[in-house]
Amino acid sequence: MTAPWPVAELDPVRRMRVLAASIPGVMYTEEHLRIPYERVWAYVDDVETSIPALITDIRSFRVVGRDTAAPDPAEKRLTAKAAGLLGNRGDFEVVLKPGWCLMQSRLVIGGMAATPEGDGTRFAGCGGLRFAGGRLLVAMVAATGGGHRMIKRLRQELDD
Amino acid sequence: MAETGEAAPRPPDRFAIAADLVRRAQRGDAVAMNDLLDLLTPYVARLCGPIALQDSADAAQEALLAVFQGLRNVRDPGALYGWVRTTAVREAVRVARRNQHQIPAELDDVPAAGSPELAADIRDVLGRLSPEHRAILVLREIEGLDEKAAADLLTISPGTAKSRLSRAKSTFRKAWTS
Repeated sequence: MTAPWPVAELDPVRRMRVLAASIPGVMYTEEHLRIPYERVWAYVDDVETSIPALITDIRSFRVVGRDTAAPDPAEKRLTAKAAGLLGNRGDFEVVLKPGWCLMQSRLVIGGMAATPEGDGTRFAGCGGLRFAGGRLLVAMVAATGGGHRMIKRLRQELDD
Repeated sequence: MAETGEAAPRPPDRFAIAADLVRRAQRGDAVAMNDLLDLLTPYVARLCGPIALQDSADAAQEALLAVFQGLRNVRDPGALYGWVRTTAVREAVRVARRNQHQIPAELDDVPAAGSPELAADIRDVLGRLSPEHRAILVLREIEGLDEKAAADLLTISPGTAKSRLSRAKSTFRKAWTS
């Protein structure tokens, strides 16, 4: 039997579902956007602009390094410095590739994923805190619609 | 974690990389989980594709969910690939059964050699088999397991495995020689 066997396709949003469901205490939100995928991801990909606009706790997000040894040429491994509204600072590792953005600091995990869906985009976001008591805080944010607020801001930024 | 059968030959560095990533993922490192997803997804996709067919994306997602949610219990990262294989095949059969869109034809009813239907690609032939028959084919033809190991993984008797494999292969032979 030499014919090619069918292979399953796992789009970035499905990948994000797996990741978010596997990290304890991570909040996850997923919605359909009536905005073409290319436009959504072109915006998200510019993380220095998109992260502070979408995550209101972050005042600035500055890329300070890039690992050029990433095995996937479409993937960027970045180091970024984030400054919070209260003056708090954090160094983030960022994995960025089409439809996929994962960020991690010593205390925070965040991610966004997108895939084309019809004429629009299926968009997912997740976030969590990596310290004792973090789960409770994240649960409170989730209970008050924190994830949906982030996606609402994305819609506003893209004038949907 | 149940390891069954002989592992398919793989570069040894992949095992070492996976073992390191598992340890880091168990400590809550999301970047390590990202890298482990990159490493395991192609393997899971190859196993789920031929078994779950049109539901293969659901099956791969369910399989990876089961794997990643079970990572914290992994004591021997060296046995990771065997466990992933077992999980992926079982999830693919479960999802394919759950979403079964058509009742598979009895293998004896498969169109005769020369039928235009059998001139189509491998997917069409696979679609005429039950998920259980597709699973045994995948384990033998893609993973290279022997019949006993495949039977253990699918929790069926070696006789049933042998019979399913024989009938599934016969279907393929007819399709390929038509």
